[in-house]
This record gives sequence, structure tokens and C-alpha cells, in this order.
Amino acid sequence: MTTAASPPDGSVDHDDDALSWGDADDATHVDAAHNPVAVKDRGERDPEAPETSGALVGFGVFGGLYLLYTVAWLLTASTSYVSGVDTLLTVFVEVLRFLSIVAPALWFTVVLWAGRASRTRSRLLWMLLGAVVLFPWPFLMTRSFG
Amino acid sequence: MTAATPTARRTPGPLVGRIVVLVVFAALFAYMTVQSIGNLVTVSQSVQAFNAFLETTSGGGSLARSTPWVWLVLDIAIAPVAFAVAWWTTRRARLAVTAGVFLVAFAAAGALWLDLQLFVPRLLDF
Repeated sequence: MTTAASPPDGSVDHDDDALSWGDADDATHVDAAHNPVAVKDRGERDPEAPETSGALVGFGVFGGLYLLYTVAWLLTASTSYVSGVDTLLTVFVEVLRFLSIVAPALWFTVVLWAGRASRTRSRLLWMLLGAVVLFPWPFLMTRSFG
Repeated sequence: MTAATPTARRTPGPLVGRIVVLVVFAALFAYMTVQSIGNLVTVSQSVQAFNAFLETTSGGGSLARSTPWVWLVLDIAIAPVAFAVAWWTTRRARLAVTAGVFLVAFAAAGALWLDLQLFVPRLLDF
């Protein structure tokens, strides 16, 4: 893209411009080409860039939490969710039972892998969402504490 | 003058792969939704039958149960919401990422679905 950049001293002839914004020789004339607007960079991060220590701590915390979730889902693997149903639904529930055990590890991996070009904050927010969605309620419901 | 930008065009291979991923997971999520609708019908009928039985007994009215509509509707909503979120987050993603995200969405929806399969009967406690 070529820019019709003109120095503020008005040495460039503006007569060829399609639109005129006033006298370039006027002392109060402001030329937009020399007054760039500061735009906040919201672009993607470099996937090859090293993680900050804060990000590593955050991912470590969620990784530990997800590991606990996996153990909790594993401990409730024998829970009976449905009974007296057809074969297809039984297979479906067994598949979901397996997936719920591996879901925390899957979520953690996919957020880090698929979101490696995303900002750290958005990846941590996805991790937080996973911590809410994957909470092992069956572990609490099938056990009495105290 | 802006230089002509090259048109980003999806090659047929990944496009077909993406369609396959969408169709497979749409079928799985649809099955989950159908089962949830079945749960809603079964549970609401069971509650009605239970309450009707209680009305025939003396003093049994106080044991009447109410249908947990909120949880049953949430049960139905899980799969469509998970599918929509997965589809929205993978609009411009590569095939492998799309498949991974849909697998995670299905696993997460499944975990929530199992939560409710365990939780709703406990609310009723016939």
C-alpha cells in the first residue's frame, strides 16, 4: 500500500488529492499522515515465544487441579449412572465414563496446543472454564465425608 | 492502492475432513440430546405417577414431589451448547485442532451429562 505521505511543511503539492482538508500551509493544519493513531496491539502471540513465569505458574496450578480431577473421576469409575437400558445406551455411557476420566487431561492439552497462539489470559480463562465444567461431582455425591 | 491480497481458499481435503468431524460429533451430540429428552419425559411421568399414587393414600400428599424441570432442561441443553461452542471456537481452525476441540467438547458434555444422570434421581428419592 502506498501512502500519500506529505511532510508537515507542505512541500508536497496537495492539488492532486481527491479531497482537500484545508490549506496545508496554514500553521494550524494537521496532516494525518504525520499523526499516526496509536493502536493497541491485540494480535496473536508468537507461538514460538517462551511462556512467562506467571503463565507457567498458572498452567501448573490448573495442571495439578486437573490431575486431582482425573483421580476423582477414576475413583468413581464404577458408579452406576443408568440401569435397565438398551445396549446402545449402555455402550454410550461406557464411552462417556471413559471420556470423563480423560477429559481433564484432554482439556489441558488442547487448550495449550490449540491455543498456543492465543494470549495467556484467554488460555487461563479456558482452563478456568474447564475447572468448572469438569468438576467431579459424582465423587462428592457418592461419598460421605466427615 | 492496496495490493491484491491472495484469496485464502480451503483445500478440498481439510474441508471434507471438517465436514466429517462435524457430522460425526453432531450425531453423537444429537444422541445425547435425544436421551436427555427421554429423561425429561420419563422423569416427569414418574413424578406424576408417584404423586397420583400419593393422592390415593391418606396423608400421602405431603410426600408429593415436584419435577426438577431446571435440571432436566439443563440436561437437554448441554449437548447443543457444547456443539455450538466447539463449532464457534474452530471456525478458522485446522482440521486436527477442530477434531481435538470437538473431542474435548464431547468429553466435557459427557462429564456434565453423567453428573446430571446421578444428581436428578437423588433429587426425587422416591
